[in-house]
Amino acid sequence: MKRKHLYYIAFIAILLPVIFLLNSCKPDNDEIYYGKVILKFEHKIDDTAAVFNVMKYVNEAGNQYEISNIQWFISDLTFYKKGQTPFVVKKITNCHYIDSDLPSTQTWEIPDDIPEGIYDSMSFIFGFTPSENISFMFVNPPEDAMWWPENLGGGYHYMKMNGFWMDSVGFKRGFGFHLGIGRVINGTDTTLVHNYFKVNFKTPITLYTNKVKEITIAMHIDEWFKNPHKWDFNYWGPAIMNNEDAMRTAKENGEVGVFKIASIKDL
Amino acid sequence: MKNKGLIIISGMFLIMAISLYLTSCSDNPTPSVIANTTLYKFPTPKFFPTLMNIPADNPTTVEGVKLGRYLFYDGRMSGRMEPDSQMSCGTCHLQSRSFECGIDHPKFTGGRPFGVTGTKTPHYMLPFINLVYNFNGYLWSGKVNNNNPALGSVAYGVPAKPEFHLRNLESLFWMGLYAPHEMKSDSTRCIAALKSIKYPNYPQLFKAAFGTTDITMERCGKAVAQFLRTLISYNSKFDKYLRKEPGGDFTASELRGYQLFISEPADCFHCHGPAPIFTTNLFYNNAKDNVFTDAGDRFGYTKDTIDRGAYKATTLRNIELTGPYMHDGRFKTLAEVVNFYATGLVVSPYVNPLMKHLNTGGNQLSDQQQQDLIAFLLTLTDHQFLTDTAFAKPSDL
Repeated sequence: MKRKHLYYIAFIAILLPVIFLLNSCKPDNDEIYYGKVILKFEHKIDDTAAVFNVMKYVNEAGNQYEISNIQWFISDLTFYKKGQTPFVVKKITNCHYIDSDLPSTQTWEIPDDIPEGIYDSMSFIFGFTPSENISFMFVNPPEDAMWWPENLGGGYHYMKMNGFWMDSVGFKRGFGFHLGIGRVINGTDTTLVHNYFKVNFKTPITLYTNKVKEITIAMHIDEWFKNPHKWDFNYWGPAIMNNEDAMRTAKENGEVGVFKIASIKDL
Repeated sequence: MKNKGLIIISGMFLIMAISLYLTSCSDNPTPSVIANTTLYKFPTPKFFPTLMNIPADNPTTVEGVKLGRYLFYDGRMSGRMEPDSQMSCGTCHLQSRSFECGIDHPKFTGGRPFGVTGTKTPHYMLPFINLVYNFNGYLWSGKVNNNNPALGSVAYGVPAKPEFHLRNLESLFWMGLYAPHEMKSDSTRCIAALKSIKYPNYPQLFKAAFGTTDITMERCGKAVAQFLRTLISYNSKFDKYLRKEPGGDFTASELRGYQLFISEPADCFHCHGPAPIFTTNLFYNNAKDNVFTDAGDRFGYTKDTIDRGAYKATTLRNIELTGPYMHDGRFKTLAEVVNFYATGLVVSPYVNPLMKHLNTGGNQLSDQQQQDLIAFLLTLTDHQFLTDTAFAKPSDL
């Protein structure tokens, strides 16, 4: 073998590791015009950060209440750009569990590369649509503890919000403001009602190439009890899973002012 | 010569290139397995968790499990060689009682164990079952967990040294060995005893499991923990019902009981769910008391007042065999437990909000409903687990 050829081979051999190293961690796609999104979640009551385990709040119906903990799901996160097909976060990762007791769940680093540009709005589903609410799709903690009874349609709680209220005789009673599939019994007919709803934020969001946008979503807990229906714990009682009227009422409140974007910033 | 050198250097760079390419983006590091060991193959039953709480520095191997099983059942491990003073994990944790001692234990009257010196354990027992799926801490308070930075355990007489951590099942071995209410021994005696034993050949078992014949406390803890992680129950009648397998047909009473179990009027499932694990492995004050003096409750670990009187929700699997019930064994039978939840709740400021029937003293289930609920609970008994020879005392020990 000629010496010159050997130099070529040596040169290529040295070059290869460098090329492999530089290329091996690139995203699968060839486009570079993508940004990233991180969602953060917070819980507010009366427009300030919720204080848990303290009986210090009063709702619109005049019930004194406290919140102990909240667990909830969002799914189908979607970004909308005028005249273009909405960008739906990958199905396999397109749901997220938020738990007030688990700080790590209060941040969702969305793995998808999202095309850069100005988006007109974004949306998510509170809970799950029927086709995505499948029993035993979560078999591991913490999500598995959100299971919803088979006789109510199975799947998972959209939300568990646990707390206490002072009832009409001054007794501190626990409540489970739990939302999911409802069941309506009409004679011998049973109908399942899926109480999920879509939350749409009509707020421009600009994603820059190779930049990360942090969007903070606030759940305003007091709004669950406010508008359009005043929620009276003394009327609805401590447990509502078997009460579709109660869950429908809660859903209608949830659709109005519970979820707001608290901030959008570039990281 | 120069050409040869160039070829060798080129070859090295090529190998480096391939290695870099293959490893630079790997996010699934393989656990460090001891040479010449075989990774233990866990069962993967339908609907069961897929995540397992296994520390990276203690992968479960066939050889480690074998050693752990011997240690679990070998009373000499306590450092005592006289037969009537020996104590092993298996002395109290009986397979036939879901690895609790059970209320009918011939030695521990009423199901309350005591150590070699006669000192009673602070609490009644928790079963060693499906522990590998638990990420929320072990023991009634959950203080043995991956996030606990504490070393040692005063209550258990375990010194505060780096090796005496309280992080995982490995820690339970140390606690059981040192605790005055259990083996009341120490590492020197334990290791000396194991070294002196002729059969089984512990040095060879340690070599097979860990690569050398060295017998150390760390290795003992790791081996026993490996064995404990294999104790998985997944073949009860309920499991067969869920998997729609033969033998899973519920009676009318069992079905009514299950419907009650997963309904808000009875409201068992929020704490004792999800199926098929039947525990959240979380901690609740379930309205048993209004005076709290037990230093071993959840508050004793977290120091958060909302945790006063809170204890781990136990798994309901094999529940018919694990009486007496509650951390203090106050209820002898399942009927007493179910009746407590029906009418016996006690008001205190620390009761968990999920105890939604507190204002009426309980869920007010009728006698028939209570019977149905118990009928359902009995479907959670896993006879295959209770008699599986892989979990039994080695026949040659």
